[in-house]
Amino acid sequence: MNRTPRDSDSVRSPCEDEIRELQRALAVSREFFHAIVNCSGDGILVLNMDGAILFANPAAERLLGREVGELLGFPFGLPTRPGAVSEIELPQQDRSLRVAEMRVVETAWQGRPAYVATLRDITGHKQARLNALKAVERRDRFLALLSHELRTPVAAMSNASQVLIRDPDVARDDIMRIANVMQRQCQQLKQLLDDLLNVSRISRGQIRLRRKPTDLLEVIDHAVEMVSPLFAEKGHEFQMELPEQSVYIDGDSVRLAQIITNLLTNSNKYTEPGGWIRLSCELEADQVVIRVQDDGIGIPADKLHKVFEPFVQAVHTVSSLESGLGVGLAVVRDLVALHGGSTEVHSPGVNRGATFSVRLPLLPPERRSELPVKQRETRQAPAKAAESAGAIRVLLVEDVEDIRQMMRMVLEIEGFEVVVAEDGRTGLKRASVFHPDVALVDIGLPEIDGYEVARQLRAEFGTALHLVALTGYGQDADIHKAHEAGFDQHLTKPVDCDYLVSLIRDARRKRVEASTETH
Amino acid sequence: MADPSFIFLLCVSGNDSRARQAEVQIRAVCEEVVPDDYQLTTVNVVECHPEDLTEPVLATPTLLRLAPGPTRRVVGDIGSEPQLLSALLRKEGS
Repeated sequence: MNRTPRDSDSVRSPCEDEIRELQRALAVSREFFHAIVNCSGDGILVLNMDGAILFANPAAERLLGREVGELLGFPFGLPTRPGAVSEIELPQQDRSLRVAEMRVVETAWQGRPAYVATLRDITGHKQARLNALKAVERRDRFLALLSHELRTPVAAMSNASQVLIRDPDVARDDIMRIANVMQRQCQQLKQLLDDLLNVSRISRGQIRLRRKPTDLLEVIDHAVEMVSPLFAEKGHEFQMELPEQSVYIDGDSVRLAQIITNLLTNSNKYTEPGGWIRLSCELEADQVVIRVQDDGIGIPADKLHKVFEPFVQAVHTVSSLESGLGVGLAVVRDLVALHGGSTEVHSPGVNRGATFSVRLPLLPPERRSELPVKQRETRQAPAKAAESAGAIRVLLVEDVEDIRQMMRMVLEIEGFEVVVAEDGRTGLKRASVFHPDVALVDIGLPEIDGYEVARQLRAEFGTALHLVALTGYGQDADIHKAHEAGFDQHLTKPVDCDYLVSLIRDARRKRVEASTETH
Repeated sequence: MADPSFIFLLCVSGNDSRARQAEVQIRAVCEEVVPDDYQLTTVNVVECHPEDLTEPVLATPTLLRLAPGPTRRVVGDIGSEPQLLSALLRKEGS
């Protein structure tokens, strides 16, 4: 009801109402103040003109690590720049540091001039920024290293080809030397690409193991075969101590071979010419321990814990040509972990060698019992039964002329009968007439791609034909797709010619053996 | 040599370039305004023993003017505020 000054109680009532109204407004205002100030994530301090604290909200208590009772009257200091933003550190009682962004405005507090300082905790943000800067720095260092690593083999190969161009009558010995240089540098480039792709895939969790019961000793033999030319080149003495009988683990043979070759190439790289490298394999309870030991340049104690980190090199390498990207051991660590194993490194110090150990779980005995137990001697015996059964017929479908020509030459030198085709359709036509034992098919072909060629070849020749995909696409999905299309094997370019030759011979031998068994 | 008229204590956290730069800037202003009549000591509050810090410090960088009294303290980017520093280099009442 509205009141007027003429009402009988007009002298007292409006005043009481007004007071009540003001009290209510004050309570609401105080409630707002508390809600905003107490719930604020930012610390709020009110300072007098001497810099002493007149008020602190709960966030400020947390940031300064002291309770409000302790803070009131405490000399915080006069802010340097009222109206501006500055960064301050807040030392905590546990001796850690928090970083805050301080904004200061001039105000009045209880009728006197004062400052309101807002403190925003930016500790996490600062740390994230620092981490990002470090990551950028690491990336830049890596790119510089990568460009150096890529330039070296390219320069060597460019020089080699220049010699051939300028002197067509170059002596045979020189041709061999040039060819060896090119071969070595190609191998170097291939290793770089493999390492890079593996690190990137593993870090994105994109490597999936294709696990099956695998004889680790077979894998080791294969890996040693790949690496021994490198040992020979540097004059290293290589010793191997392996159990007499098969050692089965549940693993991916390709990735296991990669683990072994990376460990061996690492030792090769960090051992001065004429050194020794030893590989041993021992059974310990339900595990197998592979140790690769060398008498190389060793690892300083303070770097030991970092050697499995990507892009880390413990010491400067023996030769800049062999410096690498420092990712080989990171790949080892991650692949071993994917197999449920562990990696360790020991080194007595600089120039005193190093020992890398890999522990992998053995296949449980109940799964082992059904598998053949092979003696090393029998497994190592080379089988070339099919050699005498006439020349092996190889069809090569490849659209890049340079690759087609060179590969044809290599295959013909090895005594294979070779027919080439520059596209899929031609390849299919020639296959119908030629009846190859092995078909090497590129994937990225014009018109019909390698997958389609494989499907049609498989339909026409069944299992009598060994189908090998040769491609620049090395991702797991590509390999899977190739197998789905009917390829027996998938090789990523550049292909190791020795490996390809032995693969062709093996394929032919296995098919001959299979047909003998069925007859 | 007589005691300097101005005694400053610069409290910093760590020994990064920001802390070093603050000291250099403060010293430059002191040299210009009160050469030979000041003393500036820098304390790293993270590393020093708590008892060594006679004045409690909640935030860094903090510059304390211990003499002439009363103690005055400034918190924030002190080095980049030459006017503020000049003000600290005036004796009270002068």
